[in-house]
Amino acid sequence: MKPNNAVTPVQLAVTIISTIIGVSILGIPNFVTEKVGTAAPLSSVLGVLMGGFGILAITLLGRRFPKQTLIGYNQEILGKKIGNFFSIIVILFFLTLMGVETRHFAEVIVGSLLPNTPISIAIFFMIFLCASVSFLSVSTFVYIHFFYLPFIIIPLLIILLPSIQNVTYYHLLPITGHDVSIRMLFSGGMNVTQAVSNFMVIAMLIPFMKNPQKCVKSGLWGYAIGSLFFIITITIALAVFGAEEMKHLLWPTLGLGKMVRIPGDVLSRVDAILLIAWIFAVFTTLFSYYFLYVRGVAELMRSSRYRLIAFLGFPFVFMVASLPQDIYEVYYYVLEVTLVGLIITIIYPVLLFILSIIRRQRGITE
Amino acid sequence: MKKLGMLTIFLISPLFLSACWDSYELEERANILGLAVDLGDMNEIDEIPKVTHIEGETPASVEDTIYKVTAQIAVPGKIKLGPEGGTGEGSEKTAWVLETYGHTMKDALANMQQQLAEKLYLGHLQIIVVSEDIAKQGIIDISDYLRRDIEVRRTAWMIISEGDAHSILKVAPPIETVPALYLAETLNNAVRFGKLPEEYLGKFWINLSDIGVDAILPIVKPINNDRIFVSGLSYFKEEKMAGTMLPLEIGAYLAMIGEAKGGYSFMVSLDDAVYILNSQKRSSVIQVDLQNGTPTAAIDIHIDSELDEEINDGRLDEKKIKEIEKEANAFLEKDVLLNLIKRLQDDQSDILGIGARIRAEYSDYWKREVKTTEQWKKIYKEMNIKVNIHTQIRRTGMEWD
Repeated sequence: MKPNNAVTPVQLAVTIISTIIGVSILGIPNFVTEKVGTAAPLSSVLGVLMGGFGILAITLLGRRFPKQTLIGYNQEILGKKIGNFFSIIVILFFLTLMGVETRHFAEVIVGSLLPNTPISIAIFFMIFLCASVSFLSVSTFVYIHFFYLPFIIIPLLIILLPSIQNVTYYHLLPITGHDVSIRMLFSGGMNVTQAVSNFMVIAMLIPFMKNPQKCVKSGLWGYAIGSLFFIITITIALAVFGAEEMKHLLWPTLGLGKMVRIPGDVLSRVDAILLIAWIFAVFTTLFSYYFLYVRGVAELMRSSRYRLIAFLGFPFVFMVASLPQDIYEVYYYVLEVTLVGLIITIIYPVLLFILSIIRRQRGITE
Repeated sequence: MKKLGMLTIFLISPLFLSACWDSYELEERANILGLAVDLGDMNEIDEIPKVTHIEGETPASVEDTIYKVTAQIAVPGKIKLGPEGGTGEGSEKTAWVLETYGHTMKDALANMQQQLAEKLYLGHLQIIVVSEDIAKQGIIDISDYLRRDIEVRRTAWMIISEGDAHSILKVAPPIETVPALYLAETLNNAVRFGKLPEEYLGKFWINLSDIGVDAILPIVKPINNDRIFVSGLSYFKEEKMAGTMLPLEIGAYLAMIGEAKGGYSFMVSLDDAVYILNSQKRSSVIQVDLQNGTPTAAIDIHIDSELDEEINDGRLDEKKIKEIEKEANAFLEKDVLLNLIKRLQDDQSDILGIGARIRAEYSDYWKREVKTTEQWKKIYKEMNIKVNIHTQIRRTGMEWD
């Protein structure tokens, strides 16, 4: 594992931001609001804090084992066989997640942009795109994230900032919601955690950093900024639409784009810009998942035939993406898969980290 | 291996050559710019085309509703938009106006599609005119299709027509070649000049859905077949139109919600003299309160105005101005605002969102005492709403006397 092009802390943070902002940003305000009503902002802050344990554990593990990836320290901490077993589960999970999220993406594309395009084509090309760049080097991977980030964030801000004109204060009160139990508050927050806790790919990047000791700080920054976008999006969507109207909207963020008027009437249909930015966001997210798969399998097999591995994962993702029959099933799968995902992306790293402390294990430093 | 790779590339490459599935040339689209929805009269038509249904298979409630949908269509490059400057002869000359019938919105549009070579496209829809009769029956049914359709912009306008809705779409202004655009422009500018609340489709739907808020829509009527007159604002009770307010009352409503840009002028009489004040800037605070378990509301309004005209008066001075201000406050409060609020309360239309404010600020009270919207309407009808208005005359124009 010789780093030829080192990853900087800023690049690590950027990768996390653009991985976090993905498919779910279009629909997330609806899911949270449906559960907790006006408590959605509070609930999403809770959700982000819950996800924070995951990023903290992953980066602390990265600092403890600065020369190893997730696959490496899995073996180290759990022993070779069990470690590999869990590595395979993580990889399979991200492939499945990629499948359902690709389908979710294609559903939006066909539903709102290209109604006559066969959905399998939308799915095919997104996976094809991810697969055809995923065998590139780590530095190319972070550069791609770095390149796309402005194209994701700026249009998002173009929608969100002018939307503030349409905000109504009584849509946000009471901040603890109408009759929302603590359990519901957490369950709504969990939806946000499900959406923002897909940052595991950084476990494959930390060994390539020039100074892996800095990964905790930049990891937390990246996570904070990325999930701040979620909190802001949820809050503004709620403040504009109110809890009742939100229940009628399948993709509230897109609804914001359809409602916003840029001062000066420069652009009349901003929703198109939002959708294009969102396609970039989806690509960077799915790309991260697939990259984790390619690198993970390669390390498990001790092979460097990235192209072949990228090619072999393709049918599996495509198959998962083709499973759901209608939009309701898509959302059922998305929610179920990401719920299981919480175990893998948050609980598992935390346990792993605790175990490594108990067993007093440390990676080779210098 | 190499051969396999080549083969894969060959097999995949046709996918890249498919071109665009969704390409629709501009000329193949029938852009609907304006839609008008009326209640259809069974005597007027012999039968509804069976495009989406078979007679007797749909529930009676749907079977008995007949909408007459009128669409103003522009097909770029296909329809001659007429010479610059219309003639006031109706929009049939400058754009294509189609009429069809249907039991629902989609049914009617499907019928319309059946008659057209081009594909109907709603992405440029500017204005939806709904007749008063439909608004009084309830507006949810026709909203559903527009909500679902991905092309409809939430910045389009929905307006209520006095009388037939289709007559609004037939208006053809002499200065704009596309009539529906002119109608939309009339409304957009009315917002800019502070004459209408910014209640376009998206906002209307939000108010319709919100608990404790009722919606409003502008009312228009055609004048002389070449323009429209914004004759008032209709207020809703739930999804049904409950009443209307006059243009001056729109100003009062805008002042109550604190829409910053003032636009309305009003007359103040002192003895024989008449002064016309033009409101320049408005701001307001709506405060809700709970006193001994009964909700109250207080609306505090500030209006900055300019004196635009005086009739039958010799000389203006500081003292006179103060008197005019006092009289203006009394006039606005007693004759305009309190009357309007009384009417809104009687019609149980909570367009100021007092219910939503109480629900937001005193959610315990709402949970305990109100619970349902019906209950809220009862409380709202009886509740005490105070208005406090401060008008200030800042300027009196170029004449110094």
